[in-house]
Amino acid sequence: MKSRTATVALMHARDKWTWLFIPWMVLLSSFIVNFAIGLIARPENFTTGGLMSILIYMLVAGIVVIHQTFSFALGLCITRRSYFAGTVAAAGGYILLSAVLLAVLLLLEQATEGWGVGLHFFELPYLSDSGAGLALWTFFILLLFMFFGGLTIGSLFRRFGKQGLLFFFLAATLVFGGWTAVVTAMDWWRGVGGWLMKLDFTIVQTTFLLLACTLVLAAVSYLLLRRATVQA
Amino acid sequence: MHAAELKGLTKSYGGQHALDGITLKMEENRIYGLLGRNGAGKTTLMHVLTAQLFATSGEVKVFGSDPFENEEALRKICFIKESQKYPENFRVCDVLAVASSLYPRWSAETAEQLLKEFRLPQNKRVKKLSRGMLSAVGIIVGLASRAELTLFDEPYLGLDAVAREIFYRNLIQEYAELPRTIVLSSHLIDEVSGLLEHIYLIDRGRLILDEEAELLRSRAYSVAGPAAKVDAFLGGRSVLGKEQLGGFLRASVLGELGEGGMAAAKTAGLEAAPLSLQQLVVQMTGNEAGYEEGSA
Repeated sequence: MKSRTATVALMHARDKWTWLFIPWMVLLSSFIVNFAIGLIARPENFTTGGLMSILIYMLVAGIVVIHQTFSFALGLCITRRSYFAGTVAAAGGYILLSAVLLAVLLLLEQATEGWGVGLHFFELPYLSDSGAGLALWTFFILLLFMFFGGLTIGSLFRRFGKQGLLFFFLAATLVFGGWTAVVTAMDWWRGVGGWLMKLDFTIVQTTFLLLACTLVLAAVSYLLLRRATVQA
Repeated sequence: MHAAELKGLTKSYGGQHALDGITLKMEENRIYGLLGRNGAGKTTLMHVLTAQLFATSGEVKVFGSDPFENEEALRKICFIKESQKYPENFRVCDVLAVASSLYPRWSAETAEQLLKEFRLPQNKRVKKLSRGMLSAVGIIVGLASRAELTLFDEPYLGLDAVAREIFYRNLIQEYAELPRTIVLSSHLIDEVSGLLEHIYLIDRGRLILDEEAELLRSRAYSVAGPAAKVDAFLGGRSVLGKEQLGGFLRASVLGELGEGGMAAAKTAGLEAAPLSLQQLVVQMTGNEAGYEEGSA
């Protein structure tokens, strides 16, 4: 008898469109357009923001996955715990696969000097020559962070509904806006900038910081789902 | 051990009671009918029973323990509802594959058999199915799961009479092969009344009837005949409702008619007959004020 967490993971895994085909279709179509530009216009060594498409997609996937599967899973009498664990396992697996693909493509890009046309599509800023291992890790963390960001929004919606989500974003805007206003009014920007400069994170440190944020998001999302209900 | 046990279960939304102090015990391996009008609280009750909704107060136990995040208890429950949502890209076979790995007693044979009987295309996306076919998917999961506690909430929306017959026949067959606790919530009371062993009737969140189906047959009756004679007969009896057509009156009466009553009705020239389950439900839940024990 299979564990129910594994069943949830396999339930997600069945949906290859959401997790693999669509994000890669989006990414590759952006790549093809940029490659065509490289062929036709022949600019020298150009970078694109095309990589953002898969990151944004992961955010959306995180939001949508709960809407798509939470009531189905609970309707089949799966616990919230199993649902969460299985979802994270499946998403983690697909994200790892995507990160590996991205790293391989980055290596190819570097080996072919930008696909023969000087196109830097899979390159992350500050990561041009730090090796495939670090690139893979960074891709993985970035995708994971975006996914859990989406999952948290999705869970918030599931737990508190439309009003809850609206209220949250309103509160977040107020807090952040208020903070910005205070810093501006007190003329503290120089201090904030200086503080950030002094921290001087390396790429590796930044990824671990992101990982910590991801874990917090995961915990928040789980706690929200634990009290989420299925009405009808 | 009881399959399900509710004690003083109340679920309210901003002061409104969707469920109001429900106490009941479901025994193992029986077929229960959960009846009541739309919005009476049947669906809410089943959601609380499966920990999809949280009770405001009261106690919920499934196979002896609280179902919330309780994998051992939830593994024994299969809840089929009319409003079940399915993932966007899922095909019928995907749903069955997921369900089959969830339920330890899943019968692939039953699923196969029912797919054929309902003529359900396995590779079709669930999103694209007609209402009736969608109901068939739920019924297949519910019966093939062979779950110790199987809840069917209006499982046959959009199904034609033939398909409903398939459901009833397979339900009985499955139950005979492997007894389990089945809860059937239904509007088509006359159709299912033969299947039900025990009846719960819910009205406005309150449990107003908790009785063996057998006993219910002797619990109420109707008398019909000339209005004056019927009225005379009714003196002192607990009347549920009256329908008058010209000088002809038909009354539904709560209580046991008994041999004496039957004889009395006969000598008065009245027709007396047990009230069907559907008529009883209509009489008990049809009035605006709500049913009160011993009223009218």
